[in-house]
Amino acid sequence: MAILEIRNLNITFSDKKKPHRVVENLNLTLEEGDRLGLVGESGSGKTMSALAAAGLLRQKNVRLEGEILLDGQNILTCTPQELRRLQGSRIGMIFQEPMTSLNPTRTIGWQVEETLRLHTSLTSEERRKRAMEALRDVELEDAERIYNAYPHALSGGQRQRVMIAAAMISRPKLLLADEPTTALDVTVQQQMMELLRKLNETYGTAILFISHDLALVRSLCSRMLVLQDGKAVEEGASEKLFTAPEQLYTRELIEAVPKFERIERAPLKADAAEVLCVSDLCAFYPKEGGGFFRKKEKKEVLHHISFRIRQGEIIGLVGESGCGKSTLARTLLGLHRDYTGTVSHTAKHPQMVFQDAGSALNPSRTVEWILEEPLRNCTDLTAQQRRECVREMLWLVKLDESLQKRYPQQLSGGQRQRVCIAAALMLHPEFLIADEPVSALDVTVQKQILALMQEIVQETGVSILLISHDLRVVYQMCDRVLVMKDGAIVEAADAEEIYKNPQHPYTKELLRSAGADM
Amino acid sequence: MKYAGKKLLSMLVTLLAVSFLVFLAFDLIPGDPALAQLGTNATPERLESLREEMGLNEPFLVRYFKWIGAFCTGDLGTSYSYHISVGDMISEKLPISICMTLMAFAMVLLISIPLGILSAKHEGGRLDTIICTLNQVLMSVPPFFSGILITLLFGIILKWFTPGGFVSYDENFGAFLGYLFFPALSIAIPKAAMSVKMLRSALVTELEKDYPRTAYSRGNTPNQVMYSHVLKNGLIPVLTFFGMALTDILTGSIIAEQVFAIPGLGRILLTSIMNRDYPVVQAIILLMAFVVIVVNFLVDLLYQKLDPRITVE
Amino acid sequence: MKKQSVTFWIGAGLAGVILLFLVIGCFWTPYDPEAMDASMKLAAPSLAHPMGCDPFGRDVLSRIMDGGTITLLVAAGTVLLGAGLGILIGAVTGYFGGIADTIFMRIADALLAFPSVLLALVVIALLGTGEVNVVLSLGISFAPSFARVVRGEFLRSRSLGYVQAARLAGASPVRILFVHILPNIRPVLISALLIGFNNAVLSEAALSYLGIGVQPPKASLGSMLAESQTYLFAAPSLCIFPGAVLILLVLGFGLMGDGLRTGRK
Repeated sequence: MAILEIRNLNITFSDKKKPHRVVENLNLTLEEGDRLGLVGESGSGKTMSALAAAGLLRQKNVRLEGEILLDGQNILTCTPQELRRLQGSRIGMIFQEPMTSLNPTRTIGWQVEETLRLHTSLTSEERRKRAMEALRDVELEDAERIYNAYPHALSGGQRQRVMIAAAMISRPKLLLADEPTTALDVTVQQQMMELLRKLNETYGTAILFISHDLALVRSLCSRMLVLQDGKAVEEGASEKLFTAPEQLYTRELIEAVPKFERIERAPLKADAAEVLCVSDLCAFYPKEGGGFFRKKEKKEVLHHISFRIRQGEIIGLVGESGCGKSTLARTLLGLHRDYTGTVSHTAKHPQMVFQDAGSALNPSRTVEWILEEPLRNCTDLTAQQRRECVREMLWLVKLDESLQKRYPQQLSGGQRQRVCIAAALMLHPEFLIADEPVSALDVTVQKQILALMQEIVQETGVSILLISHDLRVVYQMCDRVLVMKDGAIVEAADAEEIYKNPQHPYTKELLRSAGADM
Repeated sequence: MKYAGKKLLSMLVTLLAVSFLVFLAFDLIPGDPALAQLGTNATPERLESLREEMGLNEPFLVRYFKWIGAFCTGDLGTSYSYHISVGDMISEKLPISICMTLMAFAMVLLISIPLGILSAKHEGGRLDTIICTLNQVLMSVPPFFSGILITLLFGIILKWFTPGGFVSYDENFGAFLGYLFFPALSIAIPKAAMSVKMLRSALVTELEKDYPRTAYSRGNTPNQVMYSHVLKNGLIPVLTFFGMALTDILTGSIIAEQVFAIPGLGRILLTSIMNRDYPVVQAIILLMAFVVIVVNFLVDLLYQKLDPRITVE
Repeated sequence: MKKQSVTFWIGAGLAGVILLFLVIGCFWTPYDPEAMDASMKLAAPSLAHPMGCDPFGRDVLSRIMDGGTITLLVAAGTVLLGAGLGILIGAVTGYFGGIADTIFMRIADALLAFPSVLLALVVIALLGTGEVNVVLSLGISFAPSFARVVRGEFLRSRSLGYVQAARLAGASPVRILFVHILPNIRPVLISALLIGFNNAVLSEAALSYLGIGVQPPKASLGSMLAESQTYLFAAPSLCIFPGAVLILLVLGFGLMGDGLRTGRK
C-alpha cells in the first residue's frame, strides 16, 4: 500500500506581484518501506515538494493545488489538528543544516522527546527511556551525556544523528530527508547513509531522500525521480536510470558527476622550474579565552608540512573540514603570519580563488572595477590599457564582455566563479591557490569550471594548489595529491598512485567514501 | 562560576576606570575648592592651612585613592553650598529615584513583552502595522514632552492627579506611589515603544530561522512554537536593550523630576550643576555610573543563564 | 541605486518638509522672534499669528523657525563630531585589532557606562552651558556608540573573501579601509547616522529643557517647551506646536532609517 501519494501537485509562490510557480504537475508514489530519491539541481523544486509533503507549506503566500495523500489522508485539505497529529505520528523530517535546525537553547533530550510530549500521554520517565533508545538507535555513544547537552556542544555528524533520532522517535511510516548529508564531511556522509538504510530495514520506514548528489542517491535508493525547473523529467529504477537514461537532462546530470577519470593533458616538462617550496611549516592560532594578565596560549594547527610545486603543475590538497587546509592556503599567501618553518616562492603575486565566489567579490563594485583593481595597485598601466587587459581576461575565462558593467550579485554562481578566476589571473601570477573552487556549484557548472581551469593551466603555465574535500575532483585535475588530516600531511603521492595503491588508512577511507571501487 | 568571576573582575576594572575618569575630570576644572569654600577675601595663610587640611597639596594619585577609599566607606564629601554631608543629602532622596525607576522599568516590561509577541505573531498583518506605526510615533516623543502631554491630559483636563502635588514617602507611602505613577509612565512610554520594536524584530528574525520549521514538522501549534521555542531565543538579544533601558530610565528620571516637580536626586544634581557644587555633582554622577555598571554586570550573568552557548574555556 | 521602501519616502517627505521650514527660518521669519508685543500676550492662534503668541507677546511661529534652526545646527554638529571620531576609531580598531583595539574598547566601555544625557551633564558641569559646549558634550558622548557599530562592521568584513582578495590584489590598508570596505557598510552607517541625529535632537532638546543647553534670550525648541509648561492651563497650544515640530522631525528621520533597514533585507 502506498504510504505517500502525490497527485498533480502545483506549488505557486505569490510573494511579490507576479506569482512564481516552483513545482508543476508533480506525481509520485512511495510504497511502504520503499526508498525513493528526488534528484535535481538548485531551484528544481525538490525541497519545496518535500516541505509540501510534510505539511509545512500551508502558508498565506503559497498556493497548493493537487493532492498529497499520506496514508490515505490529504495533507492539503485536512484540518490543522489532523495535520499536526499526522506530523507527530506518521511523518518525520530531517533537514540540510542540523545546526540551525536544532533549537540552540534547549537540551538535546528535550528536543528529541518533543514529539512524544506533544502527541502522547507518556510520563516524563517513559519519554526519557524512549529518547535514550532513539539516541542509541542512531548509534550515538554516550547517549546519557548527549541527552543533557546543548546542540552547540556536538559535532555536525552527531547533530544530524540527533535530528534523525528526533524524527524517528515516534516510529513514523515516512521519513523525509532533505539533503541531510550535504553539510557533512564525506566520511561522515557515508556513515549517515548506512544509518538511514539500517533504520529503513529495521523499522520499515519509507524514505523520501532529496539530494543534488546522484551518486549518493544511487547508493541508497531503489528508485529515483529527476526534477528540473519544477517538472519531473524522468522516473525509474536507480540502476536503470544510471546506466540507460532516456532523457537528455538525466544524461547530462549523470555525466557531470565527478568520476575517477583523469582529464587528459600534456605531461609536465621534465625541467619545469620550482615555484613554491614549503619546508617544515607549522602554523599557530591563539587559544580562545585567556585572562587579563596571563599571556594567551597558542595552539599548533599545522604540523611540520613540507612539499614543493613545479611550474605548470596542479597539486591537490584533500582533507575534511577543520583539517587545516584553509589555514595552509592563508599561510602560503601571507594572510596568516603566525608560523615557523620556511615558505619560499619565486612567484611574484601568488593569488587565490575562493570557495564562496559570492563573498569574494566586492558587492558594491562592478566586474570591470574588480578586475582592474590589481592593475591599479601593482602596475603603471593607463586606464585604456587596463580596460584592454580586462577584455582579454574576460575572453580567456569565456565571459561575455557585456557583463563587465554588472555587479556581482547580478551574475550566476558559475559566472561569479569565472570572475574570481579572472581577478586572480590579472597580474599573471605563476602560482594560484584554488580553495574548494567548485564545491558551492551545481554539478553541471562544476564540470565547466574544472575544464576551464585545465585550459588556463595549458594556456598560461600557472601552477595550482587545488584544495578540495572531493577526492574525485582532485583525481581528475591533479598531477600529485597531498592528503591532510588534523593539520598534518598523512600521504603524498602521484594521483594515479594514490588511487591505485593508497597507503594510509585515512586515504583508503576517503576513497571508499568517494565511491572508488576497491 | 568561572564566567561570573571573569565578568566580576571586568566589572571592577570598569568601576575603577570610571571613578578615575570622574575624579580626573573634576580635578581638571579651573578653580580652587579651598578658595571656593572661603570666599575671595580669605587671607593667604588661612587658605594655605585649609588646602593642607583638605589634602589638596598631596599628589594626584594619593588624593584619588583617598577619595575613592572614603567613597567606599560612605563618606561622599561635603557640599560647598549647603555645608552638609553629601551622603545625607543623597540618601534622603534616593528612595524617590529608585521607586520611580523601578516603576517605570516594570511598566516597560509589562507593556513591551506582550505587545512585541503579538506584533511578531501577526507579522505583516493589520494589527502588526498598527502597532508598528504607533511605536514609531511614540518613539519620536521626547521624554520631557511626553511628561508635559501627560500633565496636560491627566492633570489638567481629566484631573486624575494634581500637577506639583508631590507627597513624600515618609508622609504617605500610598499617595507617594500614586503621584509617581504618571511621571513613571511618561518615562516608560517612549522606552516601551522602542522595546516593542526590538523584541518584535528579534522574534521575527528567530521565526525565519530553521529550527521553528523543525518544531512545526513535529506538530507544534503556532503558539507552542512561539512560547516554547522562539521566545527564549528572541529575548536573548533584547536583554542588553532592557539593561540599557533600565539605565536610561534612571537618567530619564532626572528629566521627569523636573517636569513633575519632584524633589529627587535629579533635582539636586541640576541645582548643583548650576551652583557649581562639585562634590555633590561628582558623588551623584559616580553613583549613577556605578548603578549602570552593576546593571550591565547583572545582564551579563542573566545572559549566561539564558544562553547555553556562552561558556568560558 | 536600489529602490527604497515606501516607509523611507514617507519619512523623507516628513523630514524634508520640517527641514525646509527650519531652513527658511535661517533667513526669514514672519516676525522678529525676539520682538515683544504686550497686547498679544498668550494670544490664541489666529490668521496673523498661526501658532499664537507666548507670554511676552512674541510670535510662536517665528520663534519655532528660529529655535528649530539652533536645534538643527547643534544636532548636525554633534553627529559630525561623534560620527567623525567614531568612524575613524572604529575603522582602525576593527580592521587592525590588537592592543590599540583593546585599549580603545576599554575606554569606550567606560564611556558607555554613562548614559549619554549623564555624560553630557558631566561635560556641561565642567565646561559650562552654551551651544558649543552642548555640541562638544553630546559629540563626545555619541562617539563610543558610533565607534562600536563601525568597529563591528569592519571586524566582520575583515575576514570576508573580498577583503582578502583585495589584499592579494596589492591594495594598501588605507585603500582597503576606505575604498573597499567603507562603501559596503554604507547602509549600516547611514542608519547609524540617522539614529544618531535623532538622539542628538532629543538630547539637545532635553538639555535646553533642563535649562543647561542653549541659553535665553536665544530660543530653542527645548527651552520653549520649558517656558510653555508654566502656562499649560492658560495656553496649551504653546507646548503643542514646538512639541509637534520636534516629534515630526524625529519621526521623519526615524522612518527613513527604518525604511533603509527593511529595504536592505
